[in-house]
Amino acid sequence: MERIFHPHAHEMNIEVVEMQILNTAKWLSQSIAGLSWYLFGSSLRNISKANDIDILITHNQVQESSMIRDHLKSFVLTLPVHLVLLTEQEEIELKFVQTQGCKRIFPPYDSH
Amino acid sequence: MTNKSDWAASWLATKLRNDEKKYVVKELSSTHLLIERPPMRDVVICATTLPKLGAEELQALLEKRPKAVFYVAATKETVLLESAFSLAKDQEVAIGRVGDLMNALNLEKIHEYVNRTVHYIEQGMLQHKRITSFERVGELIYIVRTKSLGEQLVAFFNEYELTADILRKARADKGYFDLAVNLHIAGSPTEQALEVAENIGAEILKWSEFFTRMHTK
Repeated sequence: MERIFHPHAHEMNIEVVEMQILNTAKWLSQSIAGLSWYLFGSSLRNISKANDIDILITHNQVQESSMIRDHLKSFVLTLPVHLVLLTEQEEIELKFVQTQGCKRIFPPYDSH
Repeated sequence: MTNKSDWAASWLATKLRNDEKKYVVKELSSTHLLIERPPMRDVVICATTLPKLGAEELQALLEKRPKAVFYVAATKETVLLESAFSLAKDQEVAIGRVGDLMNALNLEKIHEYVNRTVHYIEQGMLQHKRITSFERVGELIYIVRTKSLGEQLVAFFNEYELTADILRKARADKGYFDLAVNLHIAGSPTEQALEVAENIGAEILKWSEFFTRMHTK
């Protein structure tokens, strides 16, 4: 994993964080298919003032959530992450992506 | 601690400096910060990114110098165990999450900090005549005793969207519970959360419904 700080400024850099998330998403997609990753919340507006980095992962089956968390045990300790997992069905029910203004990180838009 | 946690204190330092109170923060090590907050006394805090913080992990942190007064879990993914809360109380230090730290910094005696949600839950239960006693057994999980219902294991949540994953994660982190009580006034469970609740043998209630249940004869 890459470091997420500029070594001198100690400021978190959103582009580097997004790249770190993208790399993790690509890696996880080799084990669990059909996941979509989004950023949302205050970290999108000003990452240095955010309490945490809100990440949404949508997945197919309810049972997949524990497997996803298990794979991400190390990742969630490398960033101040708040991980939200929703099934596709729950996302439709809550309209979470739309109402929270989520920014999709994976799969990238050009892959569709 | 591994290098995985090296970011935490540095990140917290930046956050505190950017706060509206513009704290002056000195980075004492990769885990410890000295925070100036005049006119109150300076404080040392320790940032951790451990997957779980129980008594054993806290004891190891307490042995590091300088001794901190607040041990903060920098990521929400850290599971805080009751054994750590008990040890923290004995040692006159506090533990919590980043939001807790920000609130605790307003107190002269930081170790006396009580999480607002915990305060709300415990005050509510103390004022309820049917609840004979309660005991915290984990972060937002209690054994609640009433004369008519006996002991109930109650997990509290404060979620606008109580999802299937939140319940599954709570079950994995906190163990079995009878009731899942959502404090959020506008919160509601998703359809799949209701299915998960049934599968794990828990019933989802709102805060007001919880008190109604405690009234059951």
